[in-house]
Amino acid sequence: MTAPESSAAPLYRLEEAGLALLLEGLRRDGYRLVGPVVRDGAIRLQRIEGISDLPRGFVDEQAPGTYRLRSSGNGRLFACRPGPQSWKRHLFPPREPVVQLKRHGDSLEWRRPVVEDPPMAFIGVLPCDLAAIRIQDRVWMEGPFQETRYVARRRNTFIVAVNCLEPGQLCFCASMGTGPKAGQGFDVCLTELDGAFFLEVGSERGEAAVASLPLREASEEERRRLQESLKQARLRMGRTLETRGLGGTLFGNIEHPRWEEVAKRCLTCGNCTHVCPTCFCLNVRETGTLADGRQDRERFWDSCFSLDHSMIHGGYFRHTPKQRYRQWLTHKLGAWPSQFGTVGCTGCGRCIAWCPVGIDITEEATAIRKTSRGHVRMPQPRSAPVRAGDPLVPTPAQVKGVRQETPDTTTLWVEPTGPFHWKPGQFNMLSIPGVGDVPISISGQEGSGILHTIRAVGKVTRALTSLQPGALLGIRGPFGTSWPLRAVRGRIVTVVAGGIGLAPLRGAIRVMAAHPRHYPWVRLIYGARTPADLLYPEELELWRQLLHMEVEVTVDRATPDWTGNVGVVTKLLRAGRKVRPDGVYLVCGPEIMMMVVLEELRAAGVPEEHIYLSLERNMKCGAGFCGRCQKGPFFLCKDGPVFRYDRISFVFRHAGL
Amino acid sequence: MTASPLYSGTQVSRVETPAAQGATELGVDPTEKDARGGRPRLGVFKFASCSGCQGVLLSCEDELLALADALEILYFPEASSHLQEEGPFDLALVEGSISAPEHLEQIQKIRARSKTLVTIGACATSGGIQALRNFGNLDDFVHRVYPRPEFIAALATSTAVAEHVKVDYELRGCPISKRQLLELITAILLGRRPEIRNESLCLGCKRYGYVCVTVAHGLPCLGPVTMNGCGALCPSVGRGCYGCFGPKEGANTEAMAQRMLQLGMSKDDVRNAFRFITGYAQAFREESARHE
Amino acid sequence: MTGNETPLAGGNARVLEELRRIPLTQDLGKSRLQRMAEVARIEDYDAGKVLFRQGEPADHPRVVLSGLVSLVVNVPHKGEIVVATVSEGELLGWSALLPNHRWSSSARTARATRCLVFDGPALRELMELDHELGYQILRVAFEIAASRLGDQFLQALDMFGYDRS
Repeated sequence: MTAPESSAAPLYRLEEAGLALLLEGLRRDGYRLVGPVVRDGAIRLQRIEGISDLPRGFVDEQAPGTYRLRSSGNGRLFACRPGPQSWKRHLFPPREPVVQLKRHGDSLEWRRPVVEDPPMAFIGVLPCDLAAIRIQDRVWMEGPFQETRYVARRRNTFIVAVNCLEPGQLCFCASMGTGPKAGQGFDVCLTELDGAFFLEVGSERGEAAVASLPLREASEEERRRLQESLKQARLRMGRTLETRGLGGTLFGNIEHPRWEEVAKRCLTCGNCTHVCPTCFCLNVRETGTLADGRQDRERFWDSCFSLDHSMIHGGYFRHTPKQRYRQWLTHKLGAWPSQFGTVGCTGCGRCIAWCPVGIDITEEATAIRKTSRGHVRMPQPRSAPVRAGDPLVPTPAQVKGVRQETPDTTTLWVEPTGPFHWKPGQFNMLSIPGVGDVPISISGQEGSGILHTIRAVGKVTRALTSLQPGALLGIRGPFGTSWPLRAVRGRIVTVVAGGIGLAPLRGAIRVMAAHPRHYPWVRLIYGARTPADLLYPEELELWRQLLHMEVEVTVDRATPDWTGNVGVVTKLLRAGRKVRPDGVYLVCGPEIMMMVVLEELRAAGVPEEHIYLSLERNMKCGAGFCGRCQKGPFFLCKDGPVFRYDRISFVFRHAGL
Repeated sequence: MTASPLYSGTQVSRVETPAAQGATELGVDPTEKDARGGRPRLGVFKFASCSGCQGVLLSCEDELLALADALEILYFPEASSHLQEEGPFDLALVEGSISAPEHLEQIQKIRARSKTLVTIGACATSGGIQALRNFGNLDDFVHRVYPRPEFIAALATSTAVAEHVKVDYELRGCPISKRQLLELITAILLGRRPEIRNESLCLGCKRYGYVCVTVAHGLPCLGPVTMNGCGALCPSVGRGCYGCFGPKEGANTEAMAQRMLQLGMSKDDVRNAFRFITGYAQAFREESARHE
Repeated sequence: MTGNETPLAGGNARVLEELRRIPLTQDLGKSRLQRMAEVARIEDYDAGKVLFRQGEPADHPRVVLSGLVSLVVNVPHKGEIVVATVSEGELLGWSALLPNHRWSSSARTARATRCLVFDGPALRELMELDHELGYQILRVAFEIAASRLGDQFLQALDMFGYDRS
């Protein structure tokens, strides 16, 4: 990201009075100035009026778990290294309304509150932090979905970067390629040297802002001094981190004993995630109370160190500190390149300083690298087509019909507003105002109505399954990948489903049932807890009667009147004919069931690329923003839920990922 | 000790409310409700405590009116003299620890009469500050404090309600947080999952943008092992957290104690830091015992 | 043994044919199969037929050729519980391969079923005399027992039963 230092970009000298004029000019242009301020013994990034608010004469001393401000003994304005706050709190505030619900008579309308704050000018953005902003841009603006409020703020933000001539003990931006010289993305960049500022312009907006300043072109000598200072800075980094191949190393060492060691020290407090300038995980909550009568939602910073972050229908899959620390480190340094084409770390050192027990990311990553026991190949980032609309805003839909499938499972027949195009395997987020929203796979379509088969296991699913025809709800979607119906044409297809896992497969089975020419032999193996828990019994019977389909059903617990198979699906998979290695397998059910099925298929010699699975996590946003549905380098909401097994096999086997 | 629901890291309220769209039943069969023609019934009870948590309920001001509309208040001695202690209650808020012999029977009765029982505050959820006596000898304290000790009938220990009856939900804190109280009641009434997070205080502290007192000033702070909810009150004024919301799930108190020793605290100080307002909560109790 | 027995005369060829088809005897050579055939017969049962009872001496191991057999356990206060079913190609009653065992469950046909029935003592003698044959049979039987154990373990997890009390 760093621009070549020998670039012959124009370099100007600006005296301090000129800097004051720059800030004044920005204010006059309507910008709200935000910059470093000394407060409560640290540097905070907050609203400033002018250069008099800047931390003149201060410098920080940082060590693992320790941060102190002291007098620098000089009059420099920008001697401080990154403090406890980062710019993300201004572009991606810790709390923010996501949607507001308006009721007009019988109809519902969700709206995204627009950003009304004035544009901001960030004064004194360090190179590592500029890189962090560019990394967050990829998360919020450069994926298939756009986070509209971030985009609105970001586009209007003017950035005055400051090159870093005095990196600290915890800094390793040189290793990360993010500093000490600012890379792309600034409007104006300053270097504070010898009592003056050397200024570069990075954009037309920056050009306009400096047009009337008393600038003088820097001399050759000054230019050389500056280059030399930056070179020296590069050599004075307190820490280093080798990132080459690190992702594959971290994911190749998921069960490395080092994770247990660091877990003994880790408090799982999550400070590292909240001081990190790139961490973006969030959660969404309903904010309405009885008193205000509203049914709005806000999102807030969440952390992979909170247990709640790994909640999935009433349980958690990341209980231990080991699993949580590992999630953070493997995501930051390992998964990020596959997700966003860049490491998630800028080398700012904040997580080392602000960890109350001083755990050092560079030390942990290096320890694993040095004693690595394996290496895996990480997937390349995939570009996905940009999707229109705001993924977080539900559109109203109406329940056309309700069907009780089993004692705890109901199918809602939902009529969306306007045309709705989906593919089997995809899911929707269904919203109940004031209660919340949940991911529900699409289990078919009848007429213009979309079918969702929902098992009542939590608050929102209970509310959904008690809706009556005519009720209004919100729908977001469709999200995610679909079953490879085209790719499996002409192949022998075995569908293995467990419990509610038949629902996301039903759409695909319906297509295969209707087109024997394309799908000459389809075998469905379906297991449920009891006979009463079998979904779609009539449809199973219809499929069973088709010449090109074979349907086998088994239950874990038989009732006296049950004359069919008792046992798990793997038993059916084995029974009778052998598992065919040349067949294609579509699998969906509880994760533990899928693991056993996969083992059965592996033992029978089925190549991983002939197997497709649908996974489940606690999707909260559907757009890859909230980070809650990650499985290794994948966001289940946009890279899944349907995966070809060979792509995810290296992470699927490990619990707690 | 029976693990209380929050201590074991699960926050799932056991109120099974079939909430229709925006419905406001409180785990009550709609037909039952129609027959009674009433709103969900609230009871507020007190054991050994200072009443401060009930005070939070009373200080809800604007929201109190909405609550009074949504709920039928059957029993709330601090607020009303019309008392129907027989119930039955759809929601019982219980303040205070089980500290005196008569409490043992009373709490069983309340449990039997209540559909959903929520304990509120450090006393009810951990035994409270009065649970300090659990670490000593009751008789010694009684003889020192009271001129006529023979009049004092107290249990040897002050314990959390969850050690005696099944508790559906806990609100921590000394006192509880108004936001969490309103969220809990609203969530129960609307049939949604209460957004009361069992996460570290640090996450709240950082969201507010406060400067960490441990890292920037070397002050011991229990924030990393304490459940969030107070709005990081103490760190916001430059003090370390006292842990009054009790241990967060999976609190790594051992590593925390190591850090406190490193910061210059004596073993006694570390013990006393853990043995304070929620000192009898399991994780804190065990950690303090390591520094005897 | 009261099934509709296929007369042994002329049935031997059919038994041999079935022995070639089933996994249990897959890797045995022709002469060993021949010897196995001599201690086996084919039986047909209607649905609901009890093949053996929990607690009785385990005598005859079977292989299900078609149909379905329920393994039933009698649990005090709960009555009969079907713990698993045995279907086509599977070994039914592997404990009869070992001397002096009793059935750990009862077996009842869930539908019309055809089985290959071995004379337990004669088969065990065969396995004792010819360890190569004995090893092959026990190896496959062990594989079957192991995968059934795996299934039972998964079943015991009650993986679909979350959040239900």
